[in-house]
Amino acid sequence: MGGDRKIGVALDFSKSSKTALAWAIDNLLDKGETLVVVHTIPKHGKSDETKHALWAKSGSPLIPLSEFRQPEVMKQYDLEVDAEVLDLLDTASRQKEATIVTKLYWGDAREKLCDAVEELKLDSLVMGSRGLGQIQRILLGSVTNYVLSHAACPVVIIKDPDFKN
Amino acid sequence: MAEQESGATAEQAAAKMKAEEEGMRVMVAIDESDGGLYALSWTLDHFMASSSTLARPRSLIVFHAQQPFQQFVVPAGQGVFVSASVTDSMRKAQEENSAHVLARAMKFCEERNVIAETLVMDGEPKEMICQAVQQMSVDLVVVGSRGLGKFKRAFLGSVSDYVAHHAKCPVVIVKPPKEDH
Repeated sequence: MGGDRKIGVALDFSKSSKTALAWAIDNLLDKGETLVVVHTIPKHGKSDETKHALWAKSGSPLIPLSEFRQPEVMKQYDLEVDAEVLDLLDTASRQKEATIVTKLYWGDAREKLCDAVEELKLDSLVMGSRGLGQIQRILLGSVTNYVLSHAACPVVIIKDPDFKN
Repeated sequence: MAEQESGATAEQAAAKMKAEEEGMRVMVAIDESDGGLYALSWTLDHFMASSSTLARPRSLIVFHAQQPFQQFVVPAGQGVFVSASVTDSMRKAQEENSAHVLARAMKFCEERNVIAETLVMDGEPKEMICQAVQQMSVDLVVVGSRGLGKFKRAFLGSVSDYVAHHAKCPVVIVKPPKEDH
């Protein structure tokens, strides 16, 4: 048991993923550990491809929190980071003396999250769950389900606080 | 900013403090498989380490669900009947099995200087785990995964899938480490 684990959190800026981020920071992150925020951006069209060709395959480089909180930097990636998330990450970095980095991927969330676990050698991955009904889950496909079965590390599922059975 | 705290946030803060004092209740569900024991050892290593600098104390419950007893129907001539002695000995064997599983688990905990409660319930594991979560106010449940293939999973149903979606608290699914090919 060391204080040098890498905890991944899948963030799509939805409510459940922010809940997951908060939970991971409160309960899983130990002093001096590394929190890796993984965000996937679905590939849109041709216009994106040329711009992001550099990162399309392997994802963005690891972005430290100091850059992540700067809107000018995140504009490069066409990403607006909301204040709530930054607040959570700030607190984590101060209170837990944690190293916080973000990695962006382009493509299908399912595959990229599993890729992230392997590439970044994450010790665990925390994700939210939208609480889709049974049928919806089968029809729409569930990112959570896929990652549960395929990720190479333990996965923590945090339910939306409004989750109704 | 502290003076401007509304009633709601003061309440939240109080609830958080209370939760921190009471500690986090972690429950690990085990079965006879190695996957369950691996999930337990993962929990012990990552959550219960005494050297952890996190303020919140953690308590551990080791949970085991005894599969509902399948009645064995013994066809005998014109009628079918279940012999009472067969039922009894099956039940006994099942209890011995559970005792053995729990004993192994407790040994794991002892080796790491962790005190744990045990809980055994009768019924379908996936439902019992979710029930136990509610009844015991569990804050985190850890489930191993047998790594069933896609079809077996759909057909037999997966305990870890069910618990991941239905438990009323955060769920950790721990897969046994991949063997190197």
